[in-house]
Amino acid sequence: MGRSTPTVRQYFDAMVKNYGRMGSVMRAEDCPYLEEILRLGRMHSPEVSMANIDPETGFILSVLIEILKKIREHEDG
Amino acid sequence: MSETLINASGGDTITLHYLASSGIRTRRVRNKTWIFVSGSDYDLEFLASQIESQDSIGFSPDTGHDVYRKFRGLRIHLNPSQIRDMLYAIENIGLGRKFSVYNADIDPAHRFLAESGLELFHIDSPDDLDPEVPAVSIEVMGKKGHPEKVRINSGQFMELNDRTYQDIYSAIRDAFIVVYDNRFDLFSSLLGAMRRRSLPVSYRTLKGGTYQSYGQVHYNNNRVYMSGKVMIESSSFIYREAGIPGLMEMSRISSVPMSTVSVITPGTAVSSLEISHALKNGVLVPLYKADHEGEKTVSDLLQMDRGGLVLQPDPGIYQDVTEIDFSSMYPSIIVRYNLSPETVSRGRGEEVPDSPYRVRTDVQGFLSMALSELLEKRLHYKSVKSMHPVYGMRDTALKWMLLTSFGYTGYKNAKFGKIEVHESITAIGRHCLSTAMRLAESMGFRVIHGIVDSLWLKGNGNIPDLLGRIRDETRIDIVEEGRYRWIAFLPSRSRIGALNRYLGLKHDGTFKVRGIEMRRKDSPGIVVKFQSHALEILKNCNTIADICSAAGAIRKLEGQFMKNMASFPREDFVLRISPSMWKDQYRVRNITKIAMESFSRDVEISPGQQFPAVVVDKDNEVIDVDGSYDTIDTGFYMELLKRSFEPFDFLISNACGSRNSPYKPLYLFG
Repeated sequence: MGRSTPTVRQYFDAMVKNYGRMGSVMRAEDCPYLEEILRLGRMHSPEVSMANIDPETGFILSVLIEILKKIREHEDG
Repeated sequence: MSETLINASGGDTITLHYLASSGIRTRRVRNKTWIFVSGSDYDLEFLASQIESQDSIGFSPDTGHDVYRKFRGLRIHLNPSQIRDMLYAIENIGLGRKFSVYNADIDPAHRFLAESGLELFHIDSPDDLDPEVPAVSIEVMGKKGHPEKVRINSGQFMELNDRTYQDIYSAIRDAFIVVYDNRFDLFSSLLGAMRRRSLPVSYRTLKGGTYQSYGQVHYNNNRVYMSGKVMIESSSFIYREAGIPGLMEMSRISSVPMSTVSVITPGTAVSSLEISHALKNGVLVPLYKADHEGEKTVSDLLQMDRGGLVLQPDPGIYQDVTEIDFSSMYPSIIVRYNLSPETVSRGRGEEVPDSPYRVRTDVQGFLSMALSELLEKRLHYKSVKSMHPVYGMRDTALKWMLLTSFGYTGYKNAKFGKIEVHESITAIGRHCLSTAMRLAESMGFRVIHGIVDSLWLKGNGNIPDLLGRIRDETRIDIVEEGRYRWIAFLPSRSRIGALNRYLGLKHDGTFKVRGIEMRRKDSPGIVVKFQSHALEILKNCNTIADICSAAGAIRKLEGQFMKNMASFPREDFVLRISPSMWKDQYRVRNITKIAMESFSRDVEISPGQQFPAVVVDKDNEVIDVDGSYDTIDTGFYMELLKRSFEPFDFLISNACGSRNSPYKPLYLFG
């Protein structure tokens, strides 16, 4: 019954778990940045799912959107 | 007073029970039935020649139709008890592939009721109350399968002695519906003890067992049957959710006897309702179906194999929020968009948004027709449920049936299910929610969150106007579920917004709380009490600033609970353990495994079999499952309490704009 393919959220969770291995060999002070990027990448999973696009592209787009928002907020003071 | 049909059972003879002014009346009716077989003319002729030699079985060439088309076949007339042997013969004669068989696996009593147009628990108007059927509830307490105390109809628990045994016997004898709790076989042991005291109770037990539903493991206790009674085990899902009125409503709408309704899932009840609809309308019900999924490409699978649309909320507290909900969204989509196995295809018809499918609208779909009465009834009881508790219970029962009606369209064994229908429902659902979002934003609202059929909108625009426009565009009814003074969407461990974890105070003074500990069935009472008390404090907070002002009171409450833990009664520390595996299958020695091992050797806990337990000493693996200990593990319960503080800590730190949030950044690694 129901779905037989993973949801975009499940896909993102698996991606984050994989990228987590990167954190284990990173400098401690860099870890929060990686963690933050992984958080930003997951913020638009509903839209990625709705558009039915490749999740990895969707993840990068999500990070870019959130970084652009922060730049605009910074510019607007 | 006219008679009301309240039960039907049997096979070759159907026993009908009526409620009359003089009491319960029984009538027996001879039951002859038929099955339908289709195949090539040559094969059917051969089958007919084989059946001719059977004395008590007749047949006639005939035309029948399933949901798709008309076809020729043989109608074989026989007794229900002969069906199994006949199927075996057909299977062998047709080498398992030459024939399609219909109407061969329907419960005889269910079929008799549907074909005869008889209604169980008939009421003249949907607003009438149920017939008053004599009922009794028996609850037994004891240890390790040995009954010690009993109570009748929620009275006082009584010690077991000759007199109480006699009282129980009389109560059961005089009732038609018997609600019993057979955890650890306490009720069947009680009946056994009565029999040993020469009380003439006649019963048999049917072994229960573990089953899975929607990814969760459940357990049916061993069931007890008594001739001439409707026996309801109190752990029955629908009985727990909707009581006897809910079971009666399900029985009424699906034509399935109440004792059967109490042991089947709501999904099976929906399936039975669809079968009843087919029987009443002369639509043949296939024994095995071959249409559960058509061929599709991988890209079509990836495009269509998606669920409802769930947005990602930003964690935080919001004011001026309105929640709007589509009413029974998925069943409404089935009915209003005419979705059914025979109407959804890649051929002609109205386009299903964001999918390769189309729906025929020139014919009425079987499924949409079968579910329309269920949907209309549910929407009626939803609108009047505050007027009488019975309406509320009927509403709950119908709600569960409607909820599962969607899932069943994707279940490969559902008689009238088809994956393409399932996919079309979710596609239209996503389209409806995104349409509602677009309209809301065009009218000045900001979408805070959305889950499948609900939206939370911030702003002070015209809600009735918005709802009207959404209804017009989507064809699905949508209502205002509540206006919030404030609502907090809580973060998940990864600090992005949790999808279904929020608490909000509505303008009518009530809270809507989802996903926090007090909503979990396995949380101990002390945790539920703390969170309920904390909500009491927040009840007076009209604004985010008020929440910040309440910080002191919440902190004080947290302190009191931690400090005074020892003064809480023991029942506040009871955990409800729900094992999902056998104890040997647990690799980690967690609370569940240790609790399962804490029973004596003669008690084996099955997966799904829930039981209460108190943690006495977690480090030394001491868990109390039978009231043998007086103490508790304070450290263990303090940890649980601390975890239950977290949603309120988030609320306070967010309301007060604290830069020193108790939510420290979570490092996923190293």
